[in-house]
Parts: sequence; C-alpha cells; structure tokens
Amino acid sequence: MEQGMSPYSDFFRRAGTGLLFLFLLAPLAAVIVVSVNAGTTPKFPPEGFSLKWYGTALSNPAFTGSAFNSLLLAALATAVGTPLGVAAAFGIARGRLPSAVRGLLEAVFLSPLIVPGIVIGVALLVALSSAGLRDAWLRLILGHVLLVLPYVIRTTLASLQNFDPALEEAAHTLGASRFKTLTQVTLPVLRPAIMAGAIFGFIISFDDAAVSIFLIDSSTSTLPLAIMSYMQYNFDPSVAAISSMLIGLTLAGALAIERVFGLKKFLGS
Amino acid sequence: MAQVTLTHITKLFPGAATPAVDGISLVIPKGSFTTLLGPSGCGKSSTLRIVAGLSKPDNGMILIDGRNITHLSAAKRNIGMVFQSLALFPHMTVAENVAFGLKMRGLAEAERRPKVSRALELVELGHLAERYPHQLSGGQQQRVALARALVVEPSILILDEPFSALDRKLRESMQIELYRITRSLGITAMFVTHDQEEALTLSDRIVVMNQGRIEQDGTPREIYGAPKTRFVAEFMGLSNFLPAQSRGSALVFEGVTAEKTMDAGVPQECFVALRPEGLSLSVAKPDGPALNGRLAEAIYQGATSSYTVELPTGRRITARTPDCGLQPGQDVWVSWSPDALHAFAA
Ligand SMILES: Nc1ncnc2c1ncn2[C@@H]1O[C@H](COP(=O)(O)OP(=O)(O)O)[C@@H](O)[C@H]1O
Ligand SMILES: [Mg+2]
Repeated sequence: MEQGMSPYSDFFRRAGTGLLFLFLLAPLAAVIVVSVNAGTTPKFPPEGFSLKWYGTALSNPAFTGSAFNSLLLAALATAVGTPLGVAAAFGIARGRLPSAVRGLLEAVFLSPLIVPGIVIGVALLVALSSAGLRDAWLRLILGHVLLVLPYVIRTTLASLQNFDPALEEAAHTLGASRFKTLTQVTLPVLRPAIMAGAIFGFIISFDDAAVSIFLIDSSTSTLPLAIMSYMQYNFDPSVAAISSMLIGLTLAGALAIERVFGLKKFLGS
Repeated sequence: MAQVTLTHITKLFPGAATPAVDGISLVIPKGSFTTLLGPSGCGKSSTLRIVAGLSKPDNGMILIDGRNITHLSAAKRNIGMVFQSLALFPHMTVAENVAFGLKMRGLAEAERRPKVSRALELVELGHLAERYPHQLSGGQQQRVALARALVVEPSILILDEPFSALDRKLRESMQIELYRITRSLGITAMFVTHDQEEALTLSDRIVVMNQGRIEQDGTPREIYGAPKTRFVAEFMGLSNFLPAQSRGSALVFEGVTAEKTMDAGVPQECFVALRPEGLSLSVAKPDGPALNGRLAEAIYQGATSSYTVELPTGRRITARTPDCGLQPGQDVWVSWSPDALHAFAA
C-alpha cells in the first residue's frame, strides 16, 4: 500500500467525491422528478406520475417556436464557426509568428471563454447597432459564431500541437499534393477534435441566454429566453419538462463527444 | 532501381553557427544498400530529407540516374521513405495505408488491390490488412511502413533510423528482414543509423559522417578493419589510443617498435589504437613486439574477460580475451595480432 494512503483518508476521499457529485447532480434529478409531477405546481416530492407537462410544454408555441429558432441558430452558428475555428487554429499553430504574437492571438480567440456572456452581449449590441445592423437573426448568428469559435479552436489547436509533422511528409513522399495531403491526411486525423469542438459549441450556443438576450427582437426569441420569460408570469411544471429535455440533449452531446474524442481529453485543457 | 548522386550538398539552418550538411558529395550505385552512420546531430537526417525533397539544400545538386531533381517537389520524386516515427496514417487501415501512394498516382481500385496484397505478403502481413495501425505491434507497424514505401516501386528507398524505438531482439529480427527484402528486390537504399552494429549488419557500404562532413566511405570491412581517422576508429568501437611516431614502415609507441604497412596519410607524430579483441596477455615475454605492464583490473564477462593493464607511462590499455586466470597486480606482457594495430593522424 502507498505511504500516507490510510483506509481513513481513502474513505474521506470517496465520500468527498460522492458529496460533490450529489451537489452537482441533485438539482438536475429534482428538475426531472418535478417534470413528471401530476400536480399543477412544481412540488417536491411530486403528487403522482404524469407526462402531461411534457404535452403542455410541447404544445406551447412560445416554446416550440423558440426551440426551433434555437436549433436553427445553433446549427448555423456551428456550421459557420467550425470552418472559421479550424482555419484560425491552423493560423495560430502553423503561421510563422513570433511566439508573443502567437500567444496574443490565442488569448484573443479564446477570450469568449472567459469574458462574461453579458459583457459580450452588451458589446455586440453597441457595436452592431452603431454599424446599423438591426436584423435579429443576423445579430444572433454573429454573436453565436463568437460563442462556438473558441471551442473549435481549442480542440483543434490541442490536436494540431500533437500532430506528427511526419504524417504530412509521408503523404508528400507518397505523391500527395498539398491539397490532397490536407483533405486526405491532415483534416481526417484532426476530425475527432474538430467534431468534439463543434458539438460542444453547438450545446453552448443552444443553451445561451446571456448573449442572446441583447440581440433578439420582439418577434425572434430563443428557447432559454422563452423559458425565462415564461417563468416570470407562470409557475408550472412545464418549465421543468422543457428543462428535462434540455438536460437530455446536453447529455447526448456529451456522450457524442466522449465517443469521438474522449471527454477527459476535451476538458483537460 | 536507380543511381543517386549528391554533389556538394550544403544546408545551413537559419540561426545555426555551422552547416548541418557541409558539402557532401556521394554516389550511391544502383542496387546498393548505403548507410549514413554517425553520432546524433551530425547531419544524417538533414541529408536524407534533402534527397527526399522534404528540405531544400542551400547549395549542391541531387541527381537520380543523371537527372537533376534538386528542384522537384517531394511528391514527384518517386522516393519511398520510412520515417523514424513511422508516420502511419492512423485513420486508415493497413491496406489503405499501403494503397495511399498508388491512389495518389491515380491507379484505380482494381489495379491497386493486387499490388497492395503483394506488398503485404512481402512483409508477411496479408492477414492484418483490415486492422488499424493502433491495433498492431511495433514490429508489425514497421512492416506496414516498409510495405507502404515499397509498393509504389520507388527509385530509391530511404529509411531514417526506423528501428531505433524497438527493443534489441525485435530490432535484430527486423534488420534481418530488411536485409532479405532489399536484397531480394535489388533495391537502391539509403539508410540512416547511429548504431555501428546495425550499419555493419545491413550495409553494402557505410558512409561515416561527422559534423556535416564525410569522414570515411567504404565497405563494412574497410570501415571496421581499416578506419582512416581517429573519429571513425572510436565510433567503430576501437579503443586503447596511444601517442606514437611513424618511422617508414614502423611505429614506435611506449618504447616499443612494431612493423606496420601504413597509409601515406599518417604523419610522423600520430596515434595508434589497439583493438581490445586482438590482444593477448602472457606472463612470459612473447616473441615480437609487446608492451610490459601491471595488470590493474580483471573482470570476468562470460565468453571473454576484460583485462586492464597499466603501462609504465601510467596509460592504461584494455584487452578482451578468453579467461586466462591472471590476477590483478601481476606483471604481464600484452601482444597483438597485426590487424589489431591501427595508426592515424592525431
Ligand atoms: N529544422 C531544423 N531547424 C534548425 N536546425 C535543425 C533542423 N533540423 C536539424 N537541425 C540541426 O542540424 C543538425 C543536424 O541535425 P540532423 O540532420 O537531424 O542530425 P542527425 O539526423 O544526424 O541526428 C543538428 O545540429 C540539428 O540541431
Ligand atoms: Mg536524425
């Protein structure tokens, strides 16, 4: 047995980990339990089992319309942001840049991860308004591309840094042009990383409220914002039902990342 | 198969004080297995990469069968290369890896298939064609890299320390396999290693490099048996260097005179080296030249023992001979077979 690893400290370590998981997951479990409540108010413990609030939520046009908007927005932002992010990562990793410039570029491109969403939202609102850009969809897509980019850049950059340059050289000696090398070797080798970044970006875009709130207009909303505004005037378990569906979607995304990339590798910077 | 000619190849990396490759000229005959041998950092890889077209020389020319290819891109040189990291494409199966070069040459699937299976059979991997590289052992991955380079029927095969990551046993069996394959195909090969045993095993010809230059160029027998410089001698495992004077056809060192036919290049003030395996020890003074000293150390090593003798000048020489039962402290005579004695410029 290792020194200093008494059975007691091992017990406390396990108990600590267990408590942490409980703290993180209990609210999610509560939401799911509430969502199948047969009563009319979100109550714990629930008053019987029913899926009726899922029906209510899914027949509410404020939810379905905004859910469609959110899906479309996340898809568009991911479709635009992914190739941009990959290109940016190549530029940072492979451009002939002084290391200070490289570090600065990386920090700028990854800054949406650190800057609070509200700040990004306000900044975008001011900038886009003064540029005369008033179309909600255009503003939302621009804003959400900004949200997707750092995730794609981060995973692609990590994968590029581990990339064996001999792979491309081998392709060259075997007769591949630069373009063929890129499409047949480099991008396929990076594909899991790019996919993981894109899936994560999609989820972030889909869940976002802080940036979107500054960019929508009265006729265009997103699901997280629709949930928030619904809750200001109503208090019934249909919100829990919608939230449960969001939890399911996020979980599916996380599983997809785990499958293509390994979640540990993704989260460990 | 082709002849490769390097003329005055020079490469100076930006910021480096001395050239990595310093005016290398070399002809590699058709069908020969030539090894660049030298310590790490002496410019072997840089030279190979210039031949492969992965790096541009500052000066000099590369000819293949008399054709100047110095400015041809790597993709158009038809050179098969095995990299130190192997560089197998991780997202492709073994068969797809091997087929890659054929695909890039525009061969249709139906033309590729028989060539790929023949290449895989050559390296005895036919049964693993549908595996991915990460599902293979180190030795199997080596063979895939070799098959991938050979399947395009390259004019030369280039290998940059392909076995350096393998353990000794696997390395030896891969060496034998590479020997068998290259000789059966009669291919022109350029091999790089820093391991002199590997070079001796594989090569028709060894080019010993030092600081971007060629130190000596010859058959394994010439390089091992008649090293021309102290650098080559040391690199080939020679030891027991002693200062000496050359006088006509004789060498004088440690007060002893020994007859030796020498290269014209050996100056009056020179060095001799005595190959440890060519020395014998005795208690009685032998006929012919011998060095007298005190046995300082005797280490039993199985097939041979290692004896270190301290000479009256304080210099030490080591002999490796079958165990002869001598004890440290004894007064002994060291004699040598004629081909164990070498002389060099300092
Ligand atoms: N891309 C490079 N940039 C700068 N210096 C390099 C580069 N590649 C090699 N060198 C330098 O050139 C010298 C020869 O290197 P190399 O040809 O790799 O030697 P070897 O293969 O014999 O070990 C070394 O001093 C090395 O540091
Ligand atoms: Mg090297």
